[in-house]
Amino acid sequence: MIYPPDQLMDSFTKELTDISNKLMKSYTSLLDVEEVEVATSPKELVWQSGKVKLYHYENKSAIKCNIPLLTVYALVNRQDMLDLQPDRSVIRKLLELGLDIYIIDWGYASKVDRYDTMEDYIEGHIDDCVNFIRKKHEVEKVNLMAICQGGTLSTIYSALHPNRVNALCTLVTPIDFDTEDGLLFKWSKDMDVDTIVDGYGGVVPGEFLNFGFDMLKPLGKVKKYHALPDTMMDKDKLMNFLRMEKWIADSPSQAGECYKQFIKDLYQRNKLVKGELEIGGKKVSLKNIDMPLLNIYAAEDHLVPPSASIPLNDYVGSKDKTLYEFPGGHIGVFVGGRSQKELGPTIANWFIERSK
Amino acid sequence: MENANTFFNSWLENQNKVMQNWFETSKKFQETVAQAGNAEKSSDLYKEWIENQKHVFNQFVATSAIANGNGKFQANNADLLKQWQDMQSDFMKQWGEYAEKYTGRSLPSSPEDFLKETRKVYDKWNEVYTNWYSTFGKSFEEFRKNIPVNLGKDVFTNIFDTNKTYLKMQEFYAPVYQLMKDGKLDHETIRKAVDPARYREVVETMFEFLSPDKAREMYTQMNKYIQMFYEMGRKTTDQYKAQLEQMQTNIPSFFKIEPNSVAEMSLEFSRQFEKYYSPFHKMMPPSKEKEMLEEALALQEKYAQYWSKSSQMQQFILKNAELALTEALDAVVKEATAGKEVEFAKFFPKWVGILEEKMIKSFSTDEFSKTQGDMLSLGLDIKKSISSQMEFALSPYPVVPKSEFDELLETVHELKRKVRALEKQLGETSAEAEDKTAKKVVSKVKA
Repeated sequence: MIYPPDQLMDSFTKELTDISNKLMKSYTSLLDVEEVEVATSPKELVWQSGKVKLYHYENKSAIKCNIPLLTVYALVNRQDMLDLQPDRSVIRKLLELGLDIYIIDWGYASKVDRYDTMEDYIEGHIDDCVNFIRKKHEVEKVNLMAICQGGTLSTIYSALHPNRVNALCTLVTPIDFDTEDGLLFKWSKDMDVDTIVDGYGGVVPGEFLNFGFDMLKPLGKVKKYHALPDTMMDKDKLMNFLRMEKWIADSPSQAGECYKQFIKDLYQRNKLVKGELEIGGKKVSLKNIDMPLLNIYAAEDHLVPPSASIPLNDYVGSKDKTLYEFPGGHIGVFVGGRSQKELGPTIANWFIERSK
Repeated sequence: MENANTFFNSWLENQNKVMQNWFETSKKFQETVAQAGNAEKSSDLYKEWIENQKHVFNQFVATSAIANGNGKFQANNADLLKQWQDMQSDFMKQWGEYAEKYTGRSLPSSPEDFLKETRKVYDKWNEVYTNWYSTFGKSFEEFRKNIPVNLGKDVFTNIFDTNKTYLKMQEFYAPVYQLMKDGKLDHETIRKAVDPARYREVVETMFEFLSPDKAREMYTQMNKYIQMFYEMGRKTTDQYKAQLEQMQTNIPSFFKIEPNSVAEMSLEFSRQFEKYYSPFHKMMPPSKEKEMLEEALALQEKYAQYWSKSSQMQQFILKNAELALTEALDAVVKEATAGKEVEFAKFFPKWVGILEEKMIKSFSTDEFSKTQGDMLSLGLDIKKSISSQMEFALSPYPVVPKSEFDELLETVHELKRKVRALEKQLGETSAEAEDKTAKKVVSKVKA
């Protein structure tokens, strides 16, 4: 027999009730959340220039690495990803394993910063931070650990100043931009970046970048929020989710000139690997990188595909170079359980061995 | 968490009672229908349902008040429950009215009749559902206010919106599932069961960022500017304004039908506008006003192009949504033919997965990349034009225009670079001097 249509009404009503219950479940879980904290590892502000700050982490463990480590995160999103939750913090793990860590906080670019170029970030801020650490610790060179776009900037810095870098570790870093694997790489080739920057009044908003990231997995939010009410009664899971959401939402704007140059010279013209990139009037040659290199990429990275990271090892002049594949995605490198168990010790030991 | 859990447990218990009441009443309604219809009796049933409902809610309010020690929590939630009760009462009332109208009709005997009747239920459902959602939206705002952290408020909004999509898709899938349960599901029937308009609604809910409303919002912004611009000095623009307003009203519906026709319409409008102003325009001596007028005309054309690109983007989404639906439903038919039932809870993630896969594939084409790039450029170029015209409009007032402020920022940046270079030079010179002094001291000591 055919079911009468009014039974459909019953089934719709049941669905409405189920959804009401889901909403109430979410509501009651969220009622008890009073604060969502990230980046809680204690640290001290040791240097500042405008919005850019340099922090030094407190380390209660014995320092096993003689050369301090400067951490350089991307200009996109915030460095808090490295210390998102206390029990899965890359920073805490590296401190525990005996590294002496500094980190750059790029701050939030605004209209005042619209004319800042890649040169300002590399030859200005990164160089200032490196020199501060060299002077404070009375060392010739520092160790560099750099992430994503921060990895690209640090690689360029290392090529320009190999005498100031003892060892370089790059994580999920784009170097060869001539790849068809990542959508961002494809889309950026059709972007009129001058119009975009000018249209936004010289500062590209973080929301614009986040929109692009969302488009990479267009139904990611639907999947995520559909599944959420079933897991959020577990307070720990809810808090982990909220920390990640906080990090995603905390997306700084980009200084227009730097953004233009990064897109044009790298994404569109791939100048770095071609040896055509110029910073402050100087040609950047990856062959100048002669210090030890640890290049870590994520096998399932949809933001920076492996094909954009792996080639770095072929272009540098270093004799001591290691390629490390992390089985996971772009973010999994920093927050997954495997990151704590395997990646943290690998990075720490690699630096300790090369800092004797 | 204890408060929340107690509240939630009470809530669940209450909802179960509400549902029980619903189904019992529903069953009685159907029995009334079977007994050749009696409108008065169904009104009695409705009253009975309301009484039961009130009892259940009052009991719940009393229970949760006792269970929770926090006075604020009690008061807020009692208010919310009152709203909730009102909402469910309205919902039931509407349903009851519909059931009365439905009284006495025979049950459909074929899939075609079933689908025909289903459409009617859909229409009613949509009305009831819209009402439910709007009422729920009001209580939702109240719920949202109680969440202490802003991030939590946003998460709650996202869950609410996702469920809206889920519910819309469930509405779409329900007749397919009913036919499946009855063993009548095949490729032919399923095509008839699919309502493209409803499906489009689901997809547009999911991708609100590309909906015509957004384009309309942008157009409104531009329209306001144009009006302000012309009101500042010219009274001859009434006709133009009227046309703009008319166009603004028409655009979204045209947009839905044929994107290129919108672009053509807008271009034609620009041409007409230009023609209208042509004699006046020619008489104008070269001036900032003339430049701005030309820019306003160019803006019209850019808008037409923007709409065209924006609608192409929308077509990418809709085309993939159509392909994904076909594939997902084909899979359902296959399973149904093998004697398996695919419940909505399983269908939804499957459909979402297929849709995402198709979209990513489509997003990786040159065509999409180019269209997206063009749309972005046009959108931001329009924004830039509006800014520059705003600046012109504000030029008689004592306000520092953005372009001059930018010049200042550029100068500041240049100075900062020079200071940094000098500081570095100074640092290096000092280091060299220190080095030389140290060497001299060492040689003196040696001597």
